[in-house]
Amino acid sequence: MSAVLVGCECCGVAAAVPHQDPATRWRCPSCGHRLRLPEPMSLQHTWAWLAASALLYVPANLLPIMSTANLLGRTRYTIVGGIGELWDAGEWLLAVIVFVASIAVPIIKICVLALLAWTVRHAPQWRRPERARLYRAVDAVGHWSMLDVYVVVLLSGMVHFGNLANVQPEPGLLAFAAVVILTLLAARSFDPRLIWQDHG
Amino acid sequence: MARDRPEVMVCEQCGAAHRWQPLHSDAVARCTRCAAVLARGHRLGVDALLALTLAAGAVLVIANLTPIVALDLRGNQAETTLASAVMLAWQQGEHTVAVLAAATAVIAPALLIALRLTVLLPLALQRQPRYFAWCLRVLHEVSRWNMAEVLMVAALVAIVRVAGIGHAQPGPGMLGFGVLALLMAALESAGMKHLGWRQ
Repeated sequence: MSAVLVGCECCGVAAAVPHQDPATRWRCPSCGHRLRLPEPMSLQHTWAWLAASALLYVPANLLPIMSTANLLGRTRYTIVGGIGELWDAGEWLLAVIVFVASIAVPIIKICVLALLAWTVRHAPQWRRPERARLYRAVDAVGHWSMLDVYVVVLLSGMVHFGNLANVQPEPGLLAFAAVVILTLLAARSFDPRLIWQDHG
Repeated sequence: MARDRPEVMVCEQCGAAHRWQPLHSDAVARCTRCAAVLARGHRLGVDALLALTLAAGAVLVIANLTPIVALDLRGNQAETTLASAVMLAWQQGEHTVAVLAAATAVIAPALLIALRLTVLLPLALQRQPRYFAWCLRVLHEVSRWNMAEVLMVAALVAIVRVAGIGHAQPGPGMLGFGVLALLMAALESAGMKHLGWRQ
């Protein structure tokens, strides 16, 4: 019977758990907190979140996320359109930040997590320390994609002068917010300990 | 409730076991296998952590109640707080987005501060904190959803984008979110786990 060593997330105590029955819930002998065992089945959750976020990434980028209106009419902006406006205003640094946060981070995150999930099964030995580092990086920067959601919420909160000028959220924003949350859930569902397991 | 410090530490990221050694303050112990941070040498005691947490609580209130941006459009003036922007998004029918923004920019930081106080206040009064384990567990989960620092950059972007429409000025709320982000980062790296160990 093999045992697996699990660190308690709560108090840091190391507990040896007999690795035989995945249905049993093991608790920390010191503080009683539930121990999180490595679950190979969690990969399926990761794949599911990833598929959903990849699917929504398309409407999130094609549909307008906000519109501005004044007496002359209504203009709709996609994410790229918003970045273009920042660039034209001479704020190239902010434009780069928004490009990285809204367009680059979600797609890189989806690709990296797909690579990590794939290699667990198909190339378990390949560049383990680098994969571990990649996971931590992706997990750490993921929430910056929320940037554009806040921008639209703030803008529509700021500019509401009736017909004179107003800003409204558009359907693409919901798709975009869903991509952000789904990629966060995908990163959360991936167990980095799987990188270090050997599959026979 | 005070426990002896565990002799063996398991890396949460990869499961490798390490023998515990006392750390100098400022020292960072990394996993020998995957290089994840295992533990930090702690400079801050209970009192310092409590002070930081209370400061973060005060700043959170200021950041949420004072205007982030003041906008002037041909004599029409409007001040926007985060709460008013979220309310408006809700009224415009963007319920999911409004709930998401409120949860990640207001509720998550507030919850983080409240949970820390639940542990730190009894410790500062030299009593045993109740729900210590539960608080640490929820802290671990909630810290993923705290995005106060992102909101500050978002406010900057919003000010630039609105410049074409009217005259916009940053308000105290924006500074508040910046300071809040710094305080939260300091608290996050200071950690809480070691407070449960017998000194």
